[in-house]
Amino acid sequence: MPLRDVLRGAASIADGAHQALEPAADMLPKSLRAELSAVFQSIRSTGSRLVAAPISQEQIALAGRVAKGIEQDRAAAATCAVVIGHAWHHLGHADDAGARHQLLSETLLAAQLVQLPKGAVTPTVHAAQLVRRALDGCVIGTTPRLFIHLEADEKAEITLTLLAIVVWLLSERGDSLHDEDRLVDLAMALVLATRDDALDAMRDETTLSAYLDRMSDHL
Amino acid sequence: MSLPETTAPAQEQVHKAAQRLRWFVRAFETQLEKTQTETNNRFTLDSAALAAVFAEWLHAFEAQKPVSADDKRAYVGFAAGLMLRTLITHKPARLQSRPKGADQSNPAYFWPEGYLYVAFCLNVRGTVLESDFHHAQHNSPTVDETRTWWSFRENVEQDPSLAIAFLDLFAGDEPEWTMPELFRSGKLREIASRFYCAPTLDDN
Repeated sequence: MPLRDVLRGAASIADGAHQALEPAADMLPKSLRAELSAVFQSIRSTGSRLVAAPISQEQIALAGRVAKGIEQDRAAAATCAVVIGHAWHHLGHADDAGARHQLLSETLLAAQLVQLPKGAVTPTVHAAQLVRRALDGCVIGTTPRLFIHLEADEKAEITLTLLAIVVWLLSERGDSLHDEDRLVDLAMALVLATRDDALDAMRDETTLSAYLDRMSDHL
Repeated sequence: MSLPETTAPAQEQVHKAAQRLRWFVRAFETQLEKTQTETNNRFTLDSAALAAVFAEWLHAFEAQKPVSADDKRAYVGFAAGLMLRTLITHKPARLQSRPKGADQSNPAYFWPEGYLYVAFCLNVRGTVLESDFHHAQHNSPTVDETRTWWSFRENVEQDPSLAIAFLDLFAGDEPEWTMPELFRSGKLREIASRFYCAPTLDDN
């Protein structure tokens, strides 16, 4: 799993460096400019391909149980982090991805998941704790774990995307992997359609739990 | 106007399934394909707008959900009307093309998007009533009348809530033209009828 985090970082840096160098690229000879562009593209596509590890329906079902607090061991937490990473990657490649280009570290997320309180809380309260821990643990960002300043709209996009993934995990499972990918997209659309309610729900655990309960029920 | 099947999982009642985005999107896409095949109209669908329709409809649906079991059947018709109002407001489908020489006195070509939304809402309404309440919906001939569609389009452009009353009319039920956005429980409907005489379609 840490290897995928490294590759994800490489792909992202290539992306950022390419964008940053674009204005200066005009000064380079045409052939060199094309070659440089090809190198960045290669790093980006190789990284992205390796990052997007295939997942199974069983892994998604297990991740759903982790989100609900039914499974809490280390291996299950690691699987859940991979599944969330997969959904994050999937949403990051949607046409309207916006700020969803931020990195998600599966390693850091798994470490946060195993630290979630164990005990009898409702599935949606547990899921609310998961969201809070993932955000407070800085597992998502330009450089996860480093407290790099994010603009308010970037923070909001991260929150909304994570909420969509958790809504999806809490909801009833789809019939196929294709169906699951579609459900992730629908969860994102639903959260964006209720954007104000979603961001307002972040004020406390009870409100967030109620929001997750309602949205996952209606997905 | 023929309608596609929109079924729910075997163990679930249709009115429950219809409160889930996954069912709603699939049913709407099915309706869109069916309408395209039937009319040769071509539409584009904005998925984000469709999700926004669902979210807004759900909010409106839950706000007036009746407590009494006696009102549940009547609420199906009202909820379908709320859906039509929300679809007309958000416009998730856009007409790309209609067949050359299409007769625009036919509702399907006079207002293709409106026709699609009405077909969807009538279909869901009829399916829920039949499968969950064992009640057959008998659509009114007005659903094919151009004159009614002129009135429908003109009126809902000014007040989208009138879509609720028009859907009742199309579905063969008694429309509430006065404040159609308010659900009247059986008792309230009875009391209200003593104070208001129901206007006819010509009054609108």
